[in-house]
Amino acid sequence: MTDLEEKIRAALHDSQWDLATWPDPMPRVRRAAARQRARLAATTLVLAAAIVTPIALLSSTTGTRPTPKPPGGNATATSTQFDASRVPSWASHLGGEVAYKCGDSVCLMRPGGTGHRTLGATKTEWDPSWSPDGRRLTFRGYYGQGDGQYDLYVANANGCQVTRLTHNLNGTSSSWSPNGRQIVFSTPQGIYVINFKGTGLRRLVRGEKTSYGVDTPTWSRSNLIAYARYLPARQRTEIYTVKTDGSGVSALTRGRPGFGQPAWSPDGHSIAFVANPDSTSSIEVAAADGTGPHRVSPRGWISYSPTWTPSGQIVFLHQLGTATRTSAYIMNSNGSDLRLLYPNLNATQIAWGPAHLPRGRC
Amino acid sequence: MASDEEFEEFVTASLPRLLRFAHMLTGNSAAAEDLVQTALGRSWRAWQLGGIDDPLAFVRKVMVNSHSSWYRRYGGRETAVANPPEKVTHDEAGRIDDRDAVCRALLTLPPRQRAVIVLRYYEELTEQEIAAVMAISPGTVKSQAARALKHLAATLSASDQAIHATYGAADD
Repeated sequence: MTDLEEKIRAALHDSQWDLATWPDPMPRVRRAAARQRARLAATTLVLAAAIVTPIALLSSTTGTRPTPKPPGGNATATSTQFDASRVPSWASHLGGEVAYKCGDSVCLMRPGGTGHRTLGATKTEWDPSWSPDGRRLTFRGYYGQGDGQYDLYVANANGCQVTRLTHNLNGTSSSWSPNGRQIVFSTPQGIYVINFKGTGLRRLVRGEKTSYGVDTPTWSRSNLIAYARYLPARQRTEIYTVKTDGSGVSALTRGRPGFGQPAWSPDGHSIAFVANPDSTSSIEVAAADGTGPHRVSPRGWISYSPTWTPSGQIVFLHQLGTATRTSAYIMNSNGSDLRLLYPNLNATQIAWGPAHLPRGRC
Repeated sequence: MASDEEFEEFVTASLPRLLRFAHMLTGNSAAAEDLVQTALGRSWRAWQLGGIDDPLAFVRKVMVNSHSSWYRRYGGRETAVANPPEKVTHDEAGRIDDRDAVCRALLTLPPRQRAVIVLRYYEELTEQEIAAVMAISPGTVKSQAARALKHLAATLSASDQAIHATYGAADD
């Protein structure tokens, strides 16, 4: 532990933070709960009026039916403030599908912002990862509401056929093999590989002393797995690669302060990752062997969660203020032609799928 | 699941710890009490619906997210350093106490970074546990912690220089 960390710990345990406790706390708690219930009821009424009134007016004036909900299993409207009408029209030509973390769920949409819906396969969903054919998603799903009560799940992209892949492993940050038959993921104990049907679990990389010391593995088209490895002695994270049989572990970022979230390009020739050379975080791109790393996101931005479109462009999130206020940008792999793609997406993760979503009900 | 009496027992037992945690998040005693009251109100509703297995973890999560939400809504108007903890004085030799300097520096952090530091060094949570509380990825926890430590180191260094410039010169 560093001197600064010792000072922080001592300061936080100082008695100056103590506050006088309440003699009888429950009346205050009940009053707070009653106010929250009243506020929730009022908000629900206002929202219902805001939705129903225009639809009723439209129906009565034009004689048309209300717009039906998009098909797709248990799809529901999302609660994010993302406005699909502000997505630029050229985005619809990008191809593929988009998954992103919205609130407690994974949201899905076409690149143009249409077909927006919530996966809603488990209570809370994180870390979406597309299968190579774009028909399924793996994600970290919560089976309980306590800390650490999550495992790796796989579901069809319409939210149907949800299967829990791991049990009590705390699996997260998954990535599919190019043939779609295996999935690599991280746990507090290391990086594991499992068949997409939940069989054949094996550890690929042993974890470090710290929990999730190896994290965010990503499987390349040429069957090389990149992952972030935390180096306690240097107090930083670097990108490593390993072959699918667990051999050939080597540092990709070669001592540079690579930070994490590696993402292979569709052709496997390049890799994007997040680096933090200063107090910000930026997207860097290197060749598959780690040579030629260079920053491609604008200097001074807080950029993360890089993902590749099928045509080889990079989409990433730019933090606007707090961690949950983000917009998505797109650029060429050399950083040129930077454009705002999804304003105020307010996502913390984004993953670009290779194909249009299959529609239909469960 | 559990009775109202059990929740009341939990509140009574945990209140000092929750108030302290909220104080560290907000830096202000009034805001801390508001935050705890809001979080306990939400938690009690969830408790009655049988949706809480670990009430302390649940309340902590609500507090962190509510505080960030308040900060987003009210921006820089939050009382980050309006009511700093007491004892912000220098000792007889003219040196400010390390802990007070760290406390002040802590209150200059953005709310999410401050939450990461408090969860890590006071609540002693792992990165993964912090990620679960804050609904962010472990990687983001790492980056937020690294940024916060860097900011704190810079702030404390600047504070030291200012102290030396003021009191060191006077001693000379």
